[in-house]
Amino acid sequence: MKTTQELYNERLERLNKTLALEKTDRTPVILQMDGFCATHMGYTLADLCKGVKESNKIMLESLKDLGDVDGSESSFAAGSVFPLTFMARVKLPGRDLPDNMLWQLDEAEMMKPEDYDTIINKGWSNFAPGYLRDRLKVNVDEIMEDIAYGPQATKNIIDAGYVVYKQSTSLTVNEYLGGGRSMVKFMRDLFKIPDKVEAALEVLQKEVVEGLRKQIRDSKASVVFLSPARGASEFFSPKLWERFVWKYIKETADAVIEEGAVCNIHMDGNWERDLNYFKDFPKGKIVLETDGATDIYKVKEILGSNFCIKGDVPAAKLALGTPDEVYNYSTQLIKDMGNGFILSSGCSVPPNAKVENVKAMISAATGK
Amino acid sequence: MSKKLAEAMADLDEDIVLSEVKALKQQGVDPLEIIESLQEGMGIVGKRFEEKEYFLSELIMSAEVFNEASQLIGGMGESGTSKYGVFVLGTIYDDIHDIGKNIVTTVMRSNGFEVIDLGVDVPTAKFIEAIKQYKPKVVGISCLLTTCFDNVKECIQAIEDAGLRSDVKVLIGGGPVDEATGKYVKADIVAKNAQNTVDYCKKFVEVQ
Repeated sequence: MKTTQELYNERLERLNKTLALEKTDRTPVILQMDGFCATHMGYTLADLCKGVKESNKIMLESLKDLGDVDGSESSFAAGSVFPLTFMARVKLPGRDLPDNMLWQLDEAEMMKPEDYDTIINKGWSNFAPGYLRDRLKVNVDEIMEDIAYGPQATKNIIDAGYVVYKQSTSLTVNEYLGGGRSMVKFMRDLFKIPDKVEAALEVLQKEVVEGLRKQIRDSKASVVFLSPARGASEFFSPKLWERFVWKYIKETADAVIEEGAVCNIHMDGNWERDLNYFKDFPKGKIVLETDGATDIYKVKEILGSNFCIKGDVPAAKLALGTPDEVYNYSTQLIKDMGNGFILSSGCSVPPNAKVENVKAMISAATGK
Repeated sequence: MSKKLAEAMADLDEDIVLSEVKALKQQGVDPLEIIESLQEGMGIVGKRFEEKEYFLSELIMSAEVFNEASQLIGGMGESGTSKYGVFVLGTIYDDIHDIGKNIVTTVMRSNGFEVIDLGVDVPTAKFIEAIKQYKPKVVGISCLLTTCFDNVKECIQAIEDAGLRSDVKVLIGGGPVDEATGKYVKADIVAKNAQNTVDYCKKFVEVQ
């Protein structure tokens, strides 16, 4: 029987070869899961949201029960951290919601149009802490204290023989403003005051990318998770998308690549119209992580010879489908995607996914 | 009908829309006629969306401009005009997502539907009560969480158990909702976006 260290080495090598588009013994499976781990192991979602340490413990239990997966996307559940990334309030189970109701952003127009001027004149780092504390009433110190357990959380998963896929996380800067202004108001701003929005984004981008570069160096991250959360092509006309979404994806991913890491671009929604833009990246330096809304076969056709693809067993299928349906879907993907493919759910495995469906997905890769 | 207003609305030119609405109002034009011109423009917006000239960004902006313009003539009230009848809409219980639902509400109103917006985290009883009270031809249930699929299913079953299913079509929508979900919860139609909702509801109403 292999030791956990041997298993870890084997899984890490499999993942790294896949990222480099090389042939492997089998397709790696990386699970994007947090809420599912709680229901899987008999905890409530409120238990999962108690803190980083607690969610890490629950996720590790779940991973061990699922057996031969290669790793977890992250080492803890991110629900409580959402305000720091989306600049919006979050409602958490056990605090604002019943114990088993999923955490959700409570988005409203918390950032006002005049805040653009403050950001432009004083800088993002002089604006954000006060905004989070005074307007969103978020206890930033408490969240930071909680996140400080992150490295230990990662170590716990590695010690158990599993890979932690992403070691650093960032959103594209338009999402900070989109979350704070709320989606509708932000969209309106893009039509009414585009130059001002752009000026604020430039300030943000400089500071955020600087911070991200430091984070990558400090954590020695090999894979960075970049989320343009609501940046899908289907949401924007081409001109707006190019100016307010793509520009920041490109710049941020370029910085990640310059720092020596691979950039995993989390692509929720339908991106089909703009897949050609991604050809600009150097070979093997990005991962296209899709959720089922973009036709993964189109991604393969246009970008598959140069980049790794990760996805895309749909959340609805994991919740409503049968194990046979999930197994067949996953098996077909593995066959058709070939080298440079990581099997994963489309976005997160939902809390109400059937355990036998998740196991069927894993079996498709491991053959067990 | 003001061609200039309809065209400005279709082009999302807020300044011209607002000045034209003010001018027409001063000329004593019937507010309903002004609304009709705005709705004509919204029809073109819908067409451009179908033709992939416009996207969600333009759909949102059009709804915002329409709202501003209609406020100048006293607003559309809570429910708007009812050229196409009533549409009841809400986000299913345990789900507090409201952005998609709000976009659908505004786009439906600006396309001539009377919309009863029940809000978010809506219990089954409230859907049933609204169906009984407003007698809509279509009820929309928004659901952004796979964990709430069973709630939608329960709600639709309860609508059927209350003997209301033959009088109302049930439309569902939201990020993770697909055709398989529609089948699972026994909905009549799965709407992919706000414009899809308008098109389906218009088609259904016209058939009636």
